[in-house]
Order: sequence, then C-alpha cells, then structure tokens
Amino acid sequence: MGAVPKTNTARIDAAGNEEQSMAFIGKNVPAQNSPALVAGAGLYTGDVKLDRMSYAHVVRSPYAAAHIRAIDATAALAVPGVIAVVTGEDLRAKGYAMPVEGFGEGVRPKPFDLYPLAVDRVRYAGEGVAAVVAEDPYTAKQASLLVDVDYEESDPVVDAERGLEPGSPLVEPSWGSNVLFEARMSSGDATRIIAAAAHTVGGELHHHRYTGAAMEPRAYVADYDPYRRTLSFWASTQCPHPMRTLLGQTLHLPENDIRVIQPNVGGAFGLKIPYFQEEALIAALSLACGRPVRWIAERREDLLTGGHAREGHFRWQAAFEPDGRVTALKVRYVADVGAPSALAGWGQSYVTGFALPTCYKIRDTDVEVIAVTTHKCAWNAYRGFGKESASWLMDRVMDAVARETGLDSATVRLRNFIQPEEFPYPQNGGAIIDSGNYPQALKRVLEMIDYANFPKIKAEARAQGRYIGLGLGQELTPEGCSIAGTARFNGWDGATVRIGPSGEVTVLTGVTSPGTGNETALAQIAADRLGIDLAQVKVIQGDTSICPYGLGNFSSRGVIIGGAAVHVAAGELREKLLKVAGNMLEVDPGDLECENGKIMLKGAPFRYVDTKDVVTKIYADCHGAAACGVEPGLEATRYFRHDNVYHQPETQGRYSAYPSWANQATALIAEVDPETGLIKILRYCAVHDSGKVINPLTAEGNVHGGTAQGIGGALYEQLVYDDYGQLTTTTFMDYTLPTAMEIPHIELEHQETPSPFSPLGAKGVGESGITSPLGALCGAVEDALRDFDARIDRLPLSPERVWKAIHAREARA
Amino acid sequence: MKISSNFALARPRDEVWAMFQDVPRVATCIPGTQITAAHGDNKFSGRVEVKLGPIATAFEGDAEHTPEPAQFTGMIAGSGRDRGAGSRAKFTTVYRLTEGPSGTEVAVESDVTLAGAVAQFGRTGLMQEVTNRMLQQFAANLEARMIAEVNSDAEHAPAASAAAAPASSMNLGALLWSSLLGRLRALLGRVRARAHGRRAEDEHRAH
Amino acid sequence: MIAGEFEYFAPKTLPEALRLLNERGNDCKLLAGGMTLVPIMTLGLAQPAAVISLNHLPGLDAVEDVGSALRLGAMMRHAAIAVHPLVLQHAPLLAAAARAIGDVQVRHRGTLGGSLAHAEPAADYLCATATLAARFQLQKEGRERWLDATEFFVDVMTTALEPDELLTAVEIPKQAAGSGHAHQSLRRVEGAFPIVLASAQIAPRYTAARIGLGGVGPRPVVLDVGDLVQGGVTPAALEGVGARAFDAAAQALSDLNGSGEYRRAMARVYARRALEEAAAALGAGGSR
Repeated sequence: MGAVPKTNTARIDAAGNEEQSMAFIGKNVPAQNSPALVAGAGLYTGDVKLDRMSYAHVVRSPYAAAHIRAIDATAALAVPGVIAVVTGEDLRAKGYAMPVEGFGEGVRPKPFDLYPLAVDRVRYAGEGVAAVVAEDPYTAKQASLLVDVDYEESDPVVDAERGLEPGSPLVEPSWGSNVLFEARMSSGDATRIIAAAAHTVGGELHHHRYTGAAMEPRAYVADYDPYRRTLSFWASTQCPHPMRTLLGQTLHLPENDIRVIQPNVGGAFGLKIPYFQEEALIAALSLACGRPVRWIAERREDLLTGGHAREGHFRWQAAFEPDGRVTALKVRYVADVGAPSALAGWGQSYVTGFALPTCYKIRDTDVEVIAVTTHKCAWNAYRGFGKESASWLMDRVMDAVARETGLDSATVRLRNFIQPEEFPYPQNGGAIIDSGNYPQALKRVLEMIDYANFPKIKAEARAQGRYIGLGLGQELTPEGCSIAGTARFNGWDGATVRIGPSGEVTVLTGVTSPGTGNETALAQIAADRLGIDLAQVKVIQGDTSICPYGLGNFSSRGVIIGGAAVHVAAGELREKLLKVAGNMLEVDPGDLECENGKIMLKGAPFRYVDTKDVVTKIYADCHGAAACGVEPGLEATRYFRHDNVYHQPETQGRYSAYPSWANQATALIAEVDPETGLIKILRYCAVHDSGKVINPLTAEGNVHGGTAQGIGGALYEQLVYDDYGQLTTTTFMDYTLPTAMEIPHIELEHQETPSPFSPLGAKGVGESGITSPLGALCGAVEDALRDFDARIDRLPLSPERVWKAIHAREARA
Repeated sequence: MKISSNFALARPRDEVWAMFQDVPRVATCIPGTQITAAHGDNKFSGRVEVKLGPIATAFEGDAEHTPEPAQFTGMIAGSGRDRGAGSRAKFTTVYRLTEGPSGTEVAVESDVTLAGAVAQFGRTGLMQEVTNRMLQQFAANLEARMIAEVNSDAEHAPAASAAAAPASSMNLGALLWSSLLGRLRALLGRVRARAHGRRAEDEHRAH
Repeated sequence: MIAGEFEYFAPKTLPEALRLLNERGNDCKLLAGGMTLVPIMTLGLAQPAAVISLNHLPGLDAVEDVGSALRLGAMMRHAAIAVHPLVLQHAPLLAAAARAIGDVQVRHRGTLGGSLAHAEPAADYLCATATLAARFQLQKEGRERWLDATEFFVDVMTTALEPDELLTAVEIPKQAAGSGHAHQSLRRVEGAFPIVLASAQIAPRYTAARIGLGGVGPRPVVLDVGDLVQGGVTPAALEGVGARAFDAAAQALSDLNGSGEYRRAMARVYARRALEEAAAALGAGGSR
C-alpha cells in the first residue's frame, strides 16, 4: 500500500499526526450488523407496531396521461373501518407542495408543481390520485377500489425521441416541449477534428430501462401526535435528515418537531433517496387523521412507481489514428427520464455527460445531453447514477476503434488511458480525477484471465464447435456527489464520537447504511484512531434525534465522507487523551501513540498508561493535575468537507460535483450458444481500485452485489412499457432478475491508489462493479460471434436479441 | 391493437344499416357481454366478463352509439372498469357500409385498450392475447350473426343462431376450440385473410 | 396482499370437496399449491367468492402402481415427484420435468394437478405428460371421466375441466426398461418460466419415439417421430425431427421473452437436443 499523500490530511487532522494504529483498517472484519440480518432478526419498518395503527392504500391511476375530472369517495367512505379518503386536491388545499430539487447551478428542471398525490392530471400509470386510510390494510385496499375517479384520458408520450418531435403531446404543457433539461459539455473542437479526420467511426447505442429491486419495498410509518405536535416517521430510506427537512418544508412543521428513524433497510441501491410522493403522503395522512399510519408498497407498486433508471439513446462519432488513439468524440445522448419528480433522478443523464470520456485522454469532446420527460415512472437514483452509461459508451467506442484498426481491445484502451503520473487529472467535464492507475489495473486483469493465451483457448473451443469470447469492461465511478446549492447532496457530513466513563466508544453518524456494512468500516476507523479494540466501538446511525445532522447514504459517501468525519472526530478525542496521558506519564503528548488500549511512548512501549485509566482520569478527576488542563467530557462532533469539489467556477475555473473516482478493470469470458443466443459467463476477473480499502470483506460484498446487478441489467432485467404507457413488467415473473446460478465466481483483486484528497485515501465502493458487465458482455458476445460479424448496440442481451444478431448477416445477404 | 374485418351481405344497405342500429344485438357479439340497461338516446350500460385460466374479471361501464346515417357509418364506444383491480377497458368499433355488387359491403374496425392492473400483467403476453381474441371473436360473431340473420330471413335457423350466440362469459380458449364454434374458426381465418387485403367474392356462399 | 373477502373451505374428504365444488361451481377457486392462484388474487385479477383448499384431502398425494401405468395423485408436490422411486423407475421423464420447475420453494408447494389444471402452455408438466400419453382423471359429484392429453388441454390456460370438476389423478403409462428420455427447456434464468421446452421419450431399440413441445402454441404439441428414428438418431433423423417441430410450432405466440418467430426456431433446436439426449440415455436403465 502506498503512503497516504498529505494534500489534505494535515489540514483536517488537528493533531497534525498522521501516524496511527492500523490494527483494523484494511482487515477483513465481518460486518457487525450482518448476523442479525442473516438470521432474520433485522428490524425493518414493517416491524414497527404502534397502538391505534391505521393503514393506508394508494389509489393509483390506470392511465399514463389523463385529466382528473372528479373524485367521488362516497362509496369508499361508507365501508366500515375506513377512516379517511384523501385526494390530491385536499393536499394542495393545505399547501403541501413538495420541494423540487435541481442538480446544481444551471442543472435544473423547468418549473413544475408536485404534490404527494396527483392534482388535476396524472403523469404516469400508477401515480397516486387518492389514498384510503382504514383500520386494517385489507379494508384500505378493498375500499380503494370503490374510490370513483373520473378520468379524461389523453395520448401519452412514451418514447423520448418522439416526444421531441413537434406536435407531440406534452407531459408538462406549460413547458412548451418535453425537454426537462439539456446541456452541452464541450472541450476543444470535436466537430472540426472529426470532419477533417482520415479515420472515423460512429454508431448508436440504446440502453434500456431497468431498476434496482430491493428485497424490502418502500415502507413508511408516520405517527403524528396532535397533543405534543410531533411527528415520528419510520422509513426505509437512505437519508433520514434530508427526509426530515423535506417533510418539514412540505407539511409546514418545524424540523425539531419531526423525528425520522431509519430501521434496518432491506436494500436501497440509491432508489430510497428521498423524496417520493408516498413519503410526504403517509406523513400527511397521519397529520390528517391524528393517528399512526403505515404503508408498505406491494411489489407491483414498487416496480410501477418506485423509481426507474437508465433508458437512453446515444449517437456517437469518433476520430482516431491508425495506432488506436482517439482524437475526438462527439456524443448526442437523449435520455427518457420519465415524469418530473422531486428527486433529481434525471440528473443521471447529466452525470453521464459529465463523466465522459471517463478514463481516457481525449482532448476534444462534444457531448450533448437532452433529458426528455415522458409519461412513465420517473428516474430515481439507481446504483451507477449515469456513470455506468458513460463507461459503457466508452467501452463500445474502444471496441469499435479496435475493430476498425485491427488492434486488440486492450491495446486500444492502453493507448488512450490517462497515465498514472498525470493525476490529479482535469477531465473535460470539469472534474479533477483524484487518482488511479488504469494501465496497471488492466494489465493485471489481463494476466488474471490469461489474455495472451486466449486466442489459443478460443481456437480450441471453436474447433469443438463452441463459441467463446473475451470482453473488457473499464469502469470509472465518480463518487461523493456534492452538488452546489443543496443541503441534500453535498460534500460534507458529521460524526459524533463519545467515550463513556467505562471506556466504551459510541459513534453517531450522519451517514447511514442500507445493509452494506459501512457501520463496521466506521467502527474500524474509530478503533484505529483511538488505538482501542473494535469490540469497544458501537456505531449508531439513522435517527435524527440522536445523530448529528448528516446527508445519509448515496454516492458511496459512507466511508469517503462519513468515515473521514469519524476520523476527524475521533482524532479530536485522541488529542485530548494524549494530552492527559502525557501529563500522567510526564512526557510530551507529541511523543505518544495509542494502540491496543494503551497510550505509550514512541520507541519505549514499556512506558504507557491504559487508555481506560486516561478516560477515568478525565471523568473522575477533572480537577486533578493530569486532567485539569483539558475540557471535561469525552465527546466530539466534527464535520468533514471533501476538498476535491469545485463550486466556484468564477475563481476556480471549473465546476465539479464529484471528488472521488473509483475504477475497475474487468475481463470476462462468455460462451454463446449460437443456436439459441443464450449466454453463459465462464470466467469473470476484475481489478478494483477504490483507493484505500477499509474492510476488504465488505468492500468485496459491495462489488459482488454491484456485479450481479450489472449482469442482471446487461442480460435479463428490463422494464417494458407498451404504446399506451402501461408498464407490462410489474411482477418478478415478468421482470427477470438473475439468480445465484447466473452469477459467476468473481475473481477480484484490489489495487489501491489512494485519493490524495481524503484523510483515509478511500474513494468509495458502493457503486463499484455494476458498470463493467455492460461493456464486457457486449465485447465478449461480439468476440464470440466474430464469425457472424454480429454487432451489439442494444441491451439487454436477451437470447432472442443475440440470436437475431447472429442471423442478421444472413438476413442482410 | 386494432382488428379490422370486411364482409358482404346480400341485402340493401338500408336493411343492413337497420341491423347495426340494434346496439345490444351488435354489442353482445363481444364475447361475455351483457347490456344491462338502455338509457335511451343511444346510451347503454353493460358488463363484459373476461375469463382466462385463473384470471376472472368483469368490466362494468357505459357505451354510446353515434350513428352517422348520412355517411352510413357509426361508432359504438364503451368504457368500463373492473372491481377487482381497478383496471379500465375501452372498446370502440367503427362500422362503415358501402354498396357493393351483390348487396352491402361491411367494414368494421374495432379496438380495445386496457389500462391498470390488467394491462400491467405481462405474463407470457396473456392479456394481449385476450384482447386480440376478444376482437377477433367479436368480428367473427358479428359477421356470423348478420349472415345468419340474412340467410334465415324472418325465422332464425336454430343452427345459425346457436353458432352466433355469444357465450355468457368469455372463456376465450373454450370458445375458440369447442366444436360448436369450429365454424367460427374457419370464418375467422377468412376474416384475417381479408384483413390482409385478399378478397374472395364468394367466400360466404357456403353460409 | 389479497384484499377481497372470500369464504374458505378446507374439506377433509374428496366427496365433501366435490359437493362443495358442485354447490359453489363458478364462483369458487380451488387452492392446491397456490403458486398461480395466490399471485393472481393478490393482483386482483380474480376475486372468487370462495376458495376450496385441496390440501387436507387424504390420498391425493400418492403414487399407485396400477399395472401398466402409474397413477399419481393430483396433489403431489413437484419435489416429491422428482424423487419418487416408482416415478424414477417407470416415468423418469416426469421426474425430470418436476425437477425443472421453478425453485426449491415452488417445488415444495406447487402440485401436479395445480400446474396441469392451469394449463400454462409453457409449463413443464404439460409437455411431459402429453409426451408420455398421460390420461387425466376428472371427477365431479356422481361422475368420473378419463381424458387423454389431446382432450384435456383445450387452449391457452384452458382445459376440459368443467367448473364443478376436479382433476384428481394423472395416469402415466409405464415406460419400458431401457427407454431413453430427456426434458430440456430454454429459460432466461434458473427457475424462470420456460420459453420453449421439449420432452423426448424413446422406446428401446427405437421401436417408438415421441417428442413433446411446449411454449410453441396454445397447447402442448406431441410429435410421433418413430418413423424418423427407425435407424437410430442419425443426422438425417435429427434434421427431420427439427423440421417437424418447426412446422408444428407455427402457432407460437409472442411475448416479452420471445417472439413467435424465435420460439419456432427454438422448437427445432430443442426437439433435436431432447431427441439426442434421450437417444444417449437409451439402455441406460431409465432414470438419469
């Protein structure tokens, strides 16, 4: 492991002391919360039981586009057990408008109104138009069928390209078009270079619509106490504090009258970042009824309205030299982002453009991004957040250049990579890419998969009538999303570290865990900073009443930013402990180090005090000689701000919301059954670089999960709308998820190029792995089917699509 | 999805026009359909039962007939809602009568659109299949019934009316495959063929 | 969550079940393993007034040796069929089909009768029972009848079962020792519903051969290919069987997982593969 560069460390570490115990950081520590989750003893929102609980069911629009003429709740209200029926109009009348988020300066949607239930018109099939609250969930659901909604249907926009045509129906009539957001990110003069180039290649790529499928659907319990005027809100969410802020703004409640609690979360993948209409709705229903209200989405509801991602179409053109170097790239990306929503899920299309040209050094690029609103479920943040599309596009560009030049795909990538000595590297979109060593990672993964020998292996297989191919996936995953002008997605977070009188340590954080185990990493960081045993550290997350304000979990920030905050807060206590220990040992605190529960003199470890005795001194003897010079108590709350973020373009010359750039080189071998088009992955090798890895075990768990989702997206998962805007994949019978049987053994190695901008050097691992299966599988399938000259420009690689690609040449002939 | 059919009836256009004005008679050619009330002014209430395998649902709603006597065309449009899942269905059929060499040429174009849970149940494309068959059977039933009426003149031949009698509920599979309606199936093939543009003047002679 | 109220009956005897069925006829649904009915009711696509559970009827979950055939109770779970010694000995194709269904949970809940009565065109049992020339016992109060596969499977998700009738047993002719069989399917992922499937059953010395196809039309298709394999499974025989399968799949429907065109092409592929696998197993002593 390389030493952590000092760019930032000295400034954030008040003690100015970078040396510390590494007893736990970098070690395979089993996740602290996992035993309960694995044993089925997790406590989820659905486990919250309250007196006088009532149950909500949402009446959903069958239509994708319709005007709501009238809603008659008479029959539903007459059902015994029904407590209330609430409509969008009722909520509008109370002024419960939902705040709409942009994605930073200049990256905003056109204005629109949003309420927890549709008002006047519905914008996608499944949008809530009314809610029924009843004494039990069955009554609520059954009575919801009796809410009589009079709709006037209209033609929906179900295709982004057609939504751009003049005369198309409009999702938001006041906009005058269906363009929600557009941007052009240019560097140099790609148009001119491509026009003058001797060698160019281009194509189209279509990424389909799919989403994450958490085991636990969205779930909320809201309990408004009208006497104390307090709202308690249990939520399967990633971001308790922002949720509190949003609920306060929507419902006009002071934030300190709201408590948001995040119990265990059964998977989130970005899709549980606030702010869903149902989140505001359930809280509003509790306010209206003065009773606790529970809502748990059915699977159908979650697939229909729980946030989608991805769908978009690329047209690209590149100029290249005969040696494989790409000299210019032009991209037009039309993204089908669904209905406008409170969360800037559509921002994923911006990030795709921003991340280009990913790991590569292409000076002249011209990227046009057009986010088109349609009458479909809104995009919500899904693991990858647009970066996966950028890396997939670049994989396809590199493979196309390889095909055109006759070079192999690895060589073309190696000739275009940003070189290790060029970091921090200013990429065209404005970012400073912190660190990396792409050639080393790719070369290593080629060794792992025996790339040099593959032509021979392939020829042998071919002689047996088998079609195997090797594909490369080069993913770059900007993390730590920090958007200017929002208190929801920003580059800071807080932690409180508290040492109790008995020496036990409690860490409270503003970041949360969706079940991935970051609590364990945070405990490792605190334990090493304080030189104590991991078993003494307890991490508490996800409760706005007891945790410091923080932004929760997204963009892999749990360790990058949350971990750094713990490091800083623990560092403050460490300093205090060293000071008192120095008094006790009569040495300079600067000459002390802490390890194994002891504070000792560097180079003379026999001169030590037990850390616990130092704690006792501070608690029990605050007027005594050793501790009278420090403030009593052992508690520190500190906030960390990531440095590699640029929000002052006028003076910094750039805007960048992403400080931290994890990456991975992937090589896989797949076999294609030429008769059926079925794909089987035979080997899967990856070298992953998220900087300093705090806990390889949980980091690998993240990469494995991301890989499974990436393979799912590349091969199986697809959300399909029909021409009327009806989603036809609303059960797991129709939405095909991979099982353990489809996921290959993943041969994974870590390469650590620590970020110089964070005290721990960590770059984030939460989204790693999801991207590279896209490009690697496309490449492997084309390689396997080289005899047929099969071209892949569309996902998913369903057996029929591959079969048709095999037969395309004979069809053309 | 739209389904078109064309057939010829050896009767003057006015007579055929009159047949189309009996909306309950036309509407009940949709398998599983009952007209539950006629409100006058060409407005009706009705119910369509749809049954396929484990799926059993019923749409209740209203229909309206808009005849354009001057053009010899008309539209019957209905929409309904099911009580099981809150789904919606919309049905329109447009008929157009033109004078042909041996009587009246009838062109019928029908469309069903589904919305809500029923439409969102993609399972092996079943609902697509249900609506396709529903429309095909409507076309076949309508043609069979009208031909039967024309052929049997004043009194309805029992065999003809049995063949044309819609089932009380729409068990699509059973309808299609039962021997009773084997004849309809043959008819259906021809309707499809003609929808693809082929014309055979004497096709209905056997009936 | 099933919101609508319904009456629930759990009869303890077959006559009681048949009486209830007779009384409730059209407005009731039978609950066997619930693998289809429960999701459909959850989605609100069926709201029966009554549900009659068959899970407490004695004797419907056994295999009986009736001489030239095996009689399987309709309430046998897939997991039980997959490992039953009599099935493995005399009708191993059915065991192979049972093994292929869904996942572990589905195989322990789902039943033979439930799957057959729902008659999903691409269900493993439809293809396998049709290939094996199974007969189906249908009972109602005061009547019992036996149908063969061509009579029982009527159309997409439609059988000859009348509303007051219950599928009680399936009789599978015993296959001669040394027969070869295979059950192959094209699925997106493990446990997913098949897109196309093919079963093959070859008698010793190629005296008879049948191929069953599923997912290629409204009903299972059975091809008698004995004439093509008289000289063994030669390339010409495979070609001929494939062509016959392709022709037989002309009615294949399209859905999200595959177009009719693709299914038709796959019918050819899987018919050949099943035949090859079955031929390879000839004389191997029955079960794989």
